[in-house]
Amino acid sequence: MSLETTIPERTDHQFLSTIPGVRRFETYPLDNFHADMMETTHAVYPHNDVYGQYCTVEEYIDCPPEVVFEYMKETISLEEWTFSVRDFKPCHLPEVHEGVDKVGSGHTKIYCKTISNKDAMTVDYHCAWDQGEDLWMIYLNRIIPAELVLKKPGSVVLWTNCRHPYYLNNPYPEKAPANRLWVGDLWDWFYAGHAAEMQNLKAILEFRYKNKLPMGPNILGVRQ
Amino acid sequence: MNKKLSLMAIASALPEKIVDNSFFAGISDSNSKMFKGTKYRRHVEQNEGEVDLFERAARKMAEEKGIDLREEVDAILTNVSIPELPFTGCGAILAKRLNLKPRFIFDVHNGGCVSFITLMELAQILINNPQKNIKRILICVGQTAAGRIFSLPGVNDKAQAAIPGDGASVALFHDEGDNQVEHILVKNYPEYSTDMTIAREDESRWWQPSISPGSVDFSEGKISAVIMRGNRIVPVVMHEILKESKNSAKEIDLLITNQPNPFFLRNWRESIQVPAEKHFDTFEDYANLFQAGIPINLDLAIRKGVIKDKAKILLAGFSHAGDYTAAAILNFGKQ
Repeated sequence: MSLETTIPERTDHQFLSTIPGVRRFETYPLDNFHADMMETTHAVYPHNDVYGQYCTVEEYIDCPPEVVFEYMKETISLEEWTFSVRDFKPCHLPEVHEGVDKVGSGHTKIYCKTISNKDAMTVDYHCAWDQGEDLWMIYLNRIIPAELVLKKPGSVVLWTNCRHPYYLNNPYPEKAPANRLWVGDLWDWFYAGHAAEMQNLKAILEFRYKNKLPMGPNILGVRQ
Repeated sequence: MNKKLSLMAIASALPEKIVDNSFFAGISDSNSKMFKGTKYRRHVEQNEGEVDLFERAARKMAEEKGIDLREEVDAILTNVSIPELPFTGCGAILAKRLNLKPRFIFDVHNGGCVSFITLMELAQILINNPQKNIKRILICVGQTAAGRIFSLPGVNDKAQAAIPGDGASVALFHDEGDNQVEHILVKNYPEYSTDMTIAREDESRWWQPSISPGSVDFSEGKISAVIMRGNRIVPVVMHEILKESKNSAKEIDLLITNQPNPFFLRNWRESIQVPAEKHFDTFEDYANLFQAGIPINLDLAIRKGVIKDKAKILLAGFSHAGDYTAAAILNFGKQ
């Protein structure tokens, strides 16, 4: 008796091929697909083509994924590894921390609600400048065991921001300090800035883990 | 090195035979990423050789510029893709045809699509040797693989067969004067030296008797590797020469590269942000001219007036499967 079984046709290739923009092996010639790939593959890419709408930075961290997760899920850890977010404290909104973003002229309030999922190993920082009711500026992070993807101990962290329309125009200008730049005007610097902050995260976690220090957040006088 | 090479004169010769895409059975169903975009190319006839093309180009150049080559040429450097004769080289045959008496003749086998630049580097070294007193050097670069190999039955139905085109250029360089070569940079990647091989269906070597025609062994994996390599190493050599010579890409008036396919042309100019109108090529008319591409394009750009009285020209490219990259900056016009 043959162990092979016939898998019933469960995919409607013809139907899928009628959807504009869908290219699949059964209904799109391989020649055309090759031609498309050549068209898409360049030697260099303009910054805007790569980081114009989405900005992802990624890094390997020589520290176990569970430890990276525990560190990142604490909102106050951001005071250590970000370049300029400081002084978090609870505020009138549930689960939301109010802090200061020093790059926003020193008077800019930043609000952050951290939503993490231990099973999925995701840590998302839902943030906004100036007000905490509408947390539209979202930093999506996923921690992956490096054993799975790089066949070595440690973690890989993927961090993505999407260009929410509010980056173009401040939806709550009345709440902003006078003569303060808008965070969205910094979008083109996000890759560089976030890459630097990712290096902070890597350096801090690797240093503490290597030297068997408490993993933190190691902040003096942690506020309740 | 004190003396800088200068371009004294240049001329090209193309075979008369024009071949359009309909000649190639493999072109319509080509699923190749690498071999697309041709319209026409020239093929040498089976009795036409690189020396014929060199001779035509040299006589044209001598007549146009009023140069007495017998008096002027101290050295001949050649590079040819598929030489007419094994063992001997074509430089001496050219000298015989033109009745030249050069003191040095070197037929240089390697360098492939950037051999015009690698030979310029060699010429630069030669003119700076005080003992040898070499002042004028004729560089001859020719491609004859299209008619000799890729037109043959059993080969001309392959996707790769439509890509090569034949042609040749001669350029006379000297050790003084206008059209000075500002900078030359040649890099080699020995790790890629064994990635371009000749394949025959009966697995015989190219020198062994066989009725099986030979072609370049381009598997899908090799093609992908060469495409990504070309995307990487040619931008590198262009950026490095600009940095070494303290030029910026904005100062480049004309970019001339070898021309493997339209994708490489696009990607290379994009990588240094040179607009299409400043990147001169002849791919549609002559296809991939291999080593003859850079000098023929330089020659035609001058003749068509694309190069004005004064221009900073960047020459660049890579050879074979990536074993050499080279770039040169030529300051065309009065210094």
